[in-house]
Amino acid sequence: MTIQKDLNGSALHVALEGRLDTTTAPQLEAELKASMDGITELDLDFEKLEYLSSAGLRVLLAAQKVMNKQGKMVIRHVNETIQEVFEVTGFVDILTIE
Amino acid sequence: MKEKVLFTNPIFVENEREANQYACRCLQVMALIALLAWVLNLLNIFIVPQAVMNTGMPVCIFFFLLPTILNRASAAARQDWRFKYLIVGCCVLGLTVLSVAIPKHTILAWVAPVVLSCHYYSQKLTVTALVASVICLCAAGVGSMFVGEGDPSLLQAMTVEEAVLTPEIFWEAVLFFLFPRSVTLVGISFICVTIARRTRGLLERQAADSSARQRIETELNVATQIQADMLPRIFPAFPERKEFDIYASMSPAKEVGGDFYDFFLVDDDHLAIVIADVSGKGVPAALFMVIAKTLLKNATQTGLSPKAILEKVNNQLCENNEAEMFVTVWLGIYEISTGQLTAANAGHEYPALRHAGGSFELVKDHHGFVLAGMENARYREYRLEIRPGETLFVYTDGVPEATDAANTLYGTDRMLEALNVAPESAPEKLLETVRSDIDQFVGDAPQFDDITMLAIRRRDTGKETMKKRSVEPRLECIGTVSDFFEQELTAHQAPQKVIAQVNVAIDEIFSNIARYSGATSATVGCEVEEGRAVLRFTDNGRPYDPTQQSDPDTTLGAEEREIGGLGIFMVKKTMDRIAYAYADGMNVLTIEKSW
Repeated sequence: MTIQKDLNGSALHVALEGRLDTTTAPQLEAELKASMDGITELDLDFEKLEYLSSAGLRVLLAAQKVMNKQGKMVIRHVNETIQEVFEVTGFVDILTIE
Repeated sequence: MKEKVLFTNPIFVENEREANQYACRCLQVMALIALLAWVLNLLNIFIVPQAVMNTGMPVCIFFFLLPTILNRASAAARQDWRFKYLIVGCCVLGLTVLSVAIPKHTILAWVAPVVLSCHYYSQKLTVTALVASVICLCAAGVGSMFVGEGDPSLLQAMTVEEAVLTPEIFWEAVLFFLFPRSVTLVGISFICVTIARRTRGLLERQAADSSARQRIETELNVATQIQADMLPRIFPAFPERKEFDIYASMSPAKEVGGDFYDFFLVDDDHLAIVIADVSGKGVPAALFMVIAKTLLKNATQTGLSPKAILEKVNNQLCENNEAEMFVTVWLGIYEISTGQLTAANAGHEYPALRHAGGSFELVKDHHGFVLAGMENARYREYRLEIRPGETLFVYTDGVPEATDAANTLYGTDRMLEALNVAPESAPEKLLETVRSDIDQFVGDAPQFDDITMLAIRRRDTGKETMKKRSVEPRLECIGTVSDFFEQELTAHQAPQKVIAQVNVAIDEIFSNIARYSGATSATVGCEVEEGRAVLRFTDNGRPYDPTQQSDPDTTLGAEEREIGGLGIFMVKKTMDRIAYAYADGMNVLTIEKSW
């Protein structure tokens, strides 16, 4: 998985490409942890993300909890497979998906 | 005490609330009429002394409006069972005041209290209303002769000042006006009391009936559930057996039906297959079905041959069969290692067999007499070979005897045609195809009989169809596993979305094995065919059945959420089937996905 980060003031744009699963989730977790200090707007672009597993959901949940305290988090360009995962797991009610 | 009983019944509680509201509205109208009378008197159209009207009408209007005010103001008041007595009381008092002033014009209004009380279906209230009405009617009549328009001398004198009330006139009025009016009122009241008593009785009976019906309905639902639970319904039924696929379904026409199927291993190499149809429908058929199924299973498990089983069970069922029920049974014992099937038929439909590479045809086997029909009936058994790739299909008469709106039978020809649309499909697909063909044929016509089907296919084990690969149970190897599956799926033109979903499932299952099972070796297997993939994960770790894990609460907010259990939950939701078995020290988890 490739992670492309783009910092603009206190707004962080993260574009993911590939698969967010057990092997790659720790990578994203580390990247986010390193850059989330002082961020008020976190923008996750899933356009090129193929799918995510529960390991990916865990990272998204952790990020959402942090952003609930310090600003807002938006997930964009979610494909059908991922949207279904969000729906069956009830994550649609927790995350902001645009 | 009677009133309290009344409140335990929701019909009466609801009626009382509605009756209260209705009565309040009626009294409002009466208040309006009183107001009108007052205005007319002010305009000198009535000739009642102004002083009488000016004091009487406000009191009268107050009585008529009091229930409405209380009804709006206090919930405690309107829910009190005494509220209806207050309403009737206010009605009587208001009428009394009105009648003192203008008795002639209000005479018919005296029916109101009794008629209003009718609405409560309470005999006591109606009688109370009647007694109060008669007393107040007489009192008002007398009163009106002194102060109101009722003074008979007014008619002659035309002005109040000239009116003289003599005893003769008074008694004449009592005799010719008040007495007949009271008697009329009592007469009308008899009708009202009867209406109240009878309606109440009817409502009580209806309530008792409906609660009895509700109880029966609940019990029937439980019975349906118990019956459904008696049939093996978890598929794949034997995930560890690679030699055959079996699938069955039953949909009852009524709440509980008389059809059943059964299959179970007699020993490691013999699978018993039963399909049966009990005569009749509903609860009696279901009860008989339970007995027949139990006896058949018991006899089969003692290792008897199909002929001997049917003969034994027939005699057992014939004992004490006062209800004269019977059951048609097809019973086969399938030898897994050789594909040899020994079967016997007790008046059941012909099975259908598909030869490898060919199409389904009926096996016109010998029909014995139905079970429980005649003591000491003899049955014949026959042998049949199911070769690799061949499928046997058995069913109940609900299939050929399904009828469309024009009463045309579905018939075995249509059934064979449906089976032969894709005769090579897996048993589950096959049953789905037949079912949807029946549904299409039947259209909107109701289902008269239970529809039960079972199919078993001998797998082609000559060549190992499942591709296997050993993988080290470590997280780093997930990529190897998903590459292996992805290659197979892509080769069979699986859609991208299915590949993504399968990849998620692999991630969840394999990471669980790697993290928690403590396994030292693992094997993954994959079999893809005609729009369907079967994936199998085998590991030598601790026995753990992920299908038993309870589903996580997916409605919690971010702060309360936990990730545990979510992975398997996603697999359950996105895959068509997930089955677990523990065999020979191995966890075997099989998932299936069709597209």
